[in-house]
This record gives sequence, C-alpha cells and structure tokens, in this order.
Amino acid sequence: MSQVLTQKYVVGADDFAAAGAASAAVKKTLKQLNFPVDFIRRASIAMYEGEINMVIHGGGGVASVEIYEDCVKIILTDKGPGIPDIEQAMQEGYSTATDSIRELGFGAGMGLPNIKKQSDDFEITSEVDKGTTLIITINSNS
Amino acid sequence: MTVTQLAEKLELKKLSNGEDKEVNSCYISDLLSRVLGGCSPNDVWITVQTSLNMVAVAVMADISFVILPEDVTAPVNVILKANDEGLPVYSSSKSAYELALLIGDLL
Ligand SMILES: Nc1ncnc2c1ncn2[C@@H]1O[C@H](COP(=O)(O)OP(=O)(O)OP(=O)(O)O)[C@@H](O)[C@H]1O
Ligand SMILES: [Mg+2]
Repeated sequence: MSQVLTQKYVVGADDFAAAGAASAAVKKTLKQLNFPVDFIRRASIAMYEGEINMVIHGGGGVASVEIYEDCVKIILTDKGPGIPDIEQAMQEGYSTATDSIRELGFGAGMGLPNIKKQSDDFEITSEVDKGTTLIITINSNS
Repeated sequence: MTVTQLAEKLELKKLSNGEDKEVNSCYISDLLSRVLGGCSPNDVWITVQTSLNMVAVAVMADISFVILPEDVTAPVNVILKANDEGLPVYSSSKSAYELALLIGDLL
C-alpha cells in the first residue's frame, strides 16, 4: 500500500457558497489518477457529507486526504461543539439542523449514515466543546 | 438515451451547458443527503433546490443532469457554477410527477 499523495484543505465555517470545494478538488484529483468511477463516487459522497457537517455543525475544520494506490483515507477534524451522543447522531433522520439550514436542503439526518454506507472503514470520535474527528477509508477494490 | 435527447423529448428549457451523458433513471427529492444516499449514477434529478449546494451534490453523485420543475428558476451564480462544473441544468413548466411519468415512458 504505497502512498501516492496527501492533500490538505482548510474548510471555513458557515461558508455555504464555498462548501464542498475540498471534496470537489479531491474528486478531480481521483479522476486524474484514473481510479474507478464507482470508487470516486463513494469517496466524493462520503467526503462531501463530512465536509458539509464541518461547515454546518463543526465551525469549520481541516480535511486531510491521503491517497494510496488502492484506497483513500479522508481525515476530517474540527474544533467545534462536538457530538454528545454519537450513537444517536448516527441514526437515520436524527438532525439538530436549524430551519435556515433546512431551507438549503440539509438536515435530513442522513449525512453520517451515508458516510458509513459508502465507506469500508469509518471511525468517528467526538468530545463536547472540543471537537469531532472522522476517519473515512474507502478501498478501490471492494 | 442521452441528456440532450431526453431534454428535447421533454421540451425542456436549457439553463446551463454540460456533458451529454447517458441517462439511466430518475430520482426526485429536495433533501440533499437523501439524494446523495438514494440516487444512482447517471440519474436525472428533479428538484426545486437551486442553491450552489445543489450543483455540488449533483456533481458528487454523478447525476447526469438536473430538471427544475414548475418553472422554478435558478440564481445566476448557480447557473455559472453549473456551467463551470459541466452540469446541465434545465427547467420545465411541468410538475415533478408529470415529468417522472414521461421519463418513465421514455427511458
Ligand atoms: N462535525 C460535527 N460537529 C458537531 N455536530 C455534528 C457534526 N457532524 C454531525 N453532527 C451532529 O450529528 C447530527 C447528524 O448528522 P448528519 O450529517 O447525519 O445529519 P444532518 O447534518 O443534520 O443532516 P443531513 O446530513 O442529512 O443534511 C447533526 O444534526 C449534528 O447534530
Ligand atoms: Mg450532515
């Protein structure tokens, strides 16, 4: 499993216009590296959901993406309010999104379940008032 | 069937230019995470969601093109972004239901 490259992006808080820029850039890179389309789609969806959560809920953060020959590891770290009950947050339909966020089309409570669904390995750690970290791994041969 | 063929048959109004991809099926929802989790690659997506995030979601999920039903219009910056990303966006006077019925017959 030799590493091809690492990319790092700063994701701003509450910047909905730019939200998804990091995911879009990673998608372009994976395309240029000729990964299978299904793999690229899974990585894009998982990273976008995580990136949007950092923008909406996490007060912004950092996305670090490690691209290997046969997988991609996406690490999303924020220093936001944290998640008090991860099990509850992981449930389909659970959302604390405000009405103004819902008007933008977010808040279905499907983001974290989607990340789990698209990934081969998904670790989420969070501490209230400290922040949240997601480590998402997607294999290109699964 | 391709995007332009389907758009012509449905008499859609073109708002942005993009790749003329194949269209396999159709997905309807305005909740972005629903779409990311539920749509399939090469779907046509019918939505009234016209934010920049709509474009991002369509691109991430490999949507072939977007139809805004009931003459919904999109802001200029969204159209420019769709052009940049190569995402065809069209509008129609028909409802999502009417469009889905027609698409079901055509695909
Ligand atoms: N980075 C984060 N920091 C703090 N809270 C978070 C973070 N990510 C998720 N959460 C919490 O977990 C809940 C569920 O997240 P999830 O992504 O599944 O749904 P959502 O973002 O509310 O809606 P959707 O993703 O469907 O648009 C959120 O409503 C929020 O309370
Ligand atoms: Mg979310």
